[in-house]
Amino acid sequence: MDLISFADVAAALSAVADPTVVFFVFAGAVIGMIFGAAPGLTAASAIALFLPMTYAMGLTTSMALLLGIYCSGYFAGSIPAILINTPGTPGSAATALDGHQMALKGESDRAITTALVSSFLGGLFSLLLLTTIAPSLAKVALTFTSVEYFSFALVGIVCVAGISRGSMVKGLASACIGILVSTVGLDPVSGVGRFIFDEPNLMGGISSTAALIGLFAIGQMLLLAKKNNVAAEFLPVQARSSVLSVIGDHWRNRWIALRSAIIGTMIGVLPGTGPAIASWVSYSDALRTARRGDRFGQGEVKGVIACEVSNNAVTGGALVPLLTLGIPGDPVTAILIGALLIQGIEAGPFLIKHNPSLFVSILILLFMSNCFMVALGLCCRRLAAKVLEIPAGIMVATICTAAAAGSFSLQSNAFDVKLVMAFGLLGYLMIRYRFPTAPAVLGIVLGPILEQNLRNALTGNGMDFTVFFTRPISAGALLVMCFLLYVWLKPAGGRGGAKADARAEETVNP
Amino acid sequence: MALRHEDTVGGGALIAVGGVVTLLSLDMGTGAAGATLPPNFFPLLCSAGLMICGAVLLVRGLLSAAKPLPALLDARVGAVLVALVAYFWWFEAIDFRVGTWLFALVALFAFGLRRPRQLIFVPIVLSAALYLAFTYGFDVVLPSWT
Repeated sequence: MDLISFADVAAALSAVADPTVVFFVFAGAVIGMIFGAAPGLTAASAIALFLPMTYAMGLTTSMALLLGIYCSGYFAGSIPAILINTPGTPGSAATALDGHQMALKGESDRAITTALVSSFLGGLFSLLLLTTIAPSLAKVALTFTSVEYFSFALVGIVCVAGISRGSMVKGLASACIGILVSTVGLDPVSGVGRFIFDEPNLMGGISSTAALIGLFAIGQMLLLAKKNNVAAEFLPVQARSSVLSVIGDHWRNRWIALRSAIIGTMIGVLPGTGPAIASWVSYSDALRTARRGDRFGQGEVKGVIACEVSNNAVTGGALVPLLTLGIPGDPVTAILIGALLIQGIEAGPFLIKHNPSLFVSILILLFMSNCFMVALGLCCRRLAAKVLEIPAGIMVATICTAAAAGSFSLQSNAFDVKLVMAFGLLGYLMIRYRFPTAPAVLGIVLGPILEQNLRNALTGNGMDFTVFFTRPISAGALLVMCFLLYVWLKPAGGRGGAKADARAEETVNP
Repeated sequence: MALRHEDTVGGGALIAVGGVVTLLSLDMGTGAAGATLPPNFFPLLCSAGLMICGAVLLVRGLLSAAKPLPALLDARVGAVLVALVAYFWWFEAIDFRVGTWLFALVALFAFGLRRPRQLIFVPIVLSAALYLAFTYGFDVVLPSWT
């Protein structure tokens, strides 16, 4: 780790020790809990919504807020999954399989506490890996050229489309829509206007933040308006559970927890994936190693452990490609690219080299986020059900108006507000026709990276397309992409495989 | 042949969008591109992708059994949508506090909330909270009549 010196660590500690920063981590944890727990809201929509507000903040405080939302939001989706069989985030869909069954047996407190401890362990594991892998990968990444960056970005696009499982065609179409949106504006090389339609506001391209707010926040609010009220299922009297007994459960199932943490972190490292695929893969793995007497699908605590460890393990893993290659590991980190740009920081291989104290700050903030998440969760888990009682009308009104104000604050330009509306309508249509929106988001973020690196790669190699197959790392990345495509396109099979696939198809939208 | 299927409609829409993008891209010109990819390369790639995906979905939809299309509108969605479009479209022309208050009121009404206290206080509190947060917390000058 010679990119980072002791002085950088000291500078990072000094930055993070500011009470304002600690407050914003806490605030982020609270916001993440609320957004993650409320059906229809997600960690991604929370980060998209609060992104414009980070303009007025410093670098460390903005990262504190957003990382706080990130960690807590991924955990909190398990609360409605357990209580009302409705996952708050796609990453918690698999948790509902066993978590809700536990609630029906009066063990919801045990299930939620298990989810909390599992999320904490997953987050810490991936943080450890981020600490060890990222600096080394950043040094290697300095040797990458446009050829490698293009291949990695392509893998990211295909991955996020691929996790749409039975809707891979729709996932690819969604990715194409996102990439198309990213081409709007003046072409940086030739100066030709693309899809500007004589609108001066489009010359600079479509603001990715406005598009994200529209797709994530407004689209979901229109969907909430469409849904009928979810009738709260009557739950029996719930037994209280001690944290020590839950820790004991984790010790007894430590190998499942470890495997799930590895799966979640590795899937997070893979560009373009996210917690949804991580939790389903971990659940399938736990199912595969089930022993006699395990009651998967009927309230087996191992199911909750597997899902929640892996979905929070994605948090650190997804930051690896973001901080070292500038390629987001999941839809949330795609939004974090915008947060870094707002502060004048470009994500990529030079981030750690030029901003080592920022990297250490991010590690410390992630650790603090996980600690606040578990502290808040333990103290307030019995209040969790209250979030589910917020009337949908109040939620819709709040989110839509906050989205409008937030998008206006980007450039004090009402055109951005109209863009949010347009993308909100597009997002609603996509969701209703079962097109995943995550690939569109990745397309908007990765589109410029794809195009710029493809151009540079071909210009530097005499317009020779074979360079993507002759350079070993690029060829390896494309081989991985082909392998993943083969895995995703072959018919699903095995115990639980068909059921897992069917449920996964329902959770393609963040 | 199922014309009434979400994949048929979705596929058709993708083909139409892809076609329009193709026409617009072919009209783009090359500018000062030089010895590199022309500016319409990526848009054409995307439009080809859209049309291929659209064709696959269209065929899949046509070969499937007919089923009702996803319902897009009902009274509540319609009300929220109209209010949303009006609020976002005329955002700059209307005082933020008034617009937010009105939108919140319409949204609460559309969701069937009828308790007078909720209808009175929630829009006022929401409007005031957002205005103060953005104006004094984030130094954003929101549209105002004063």
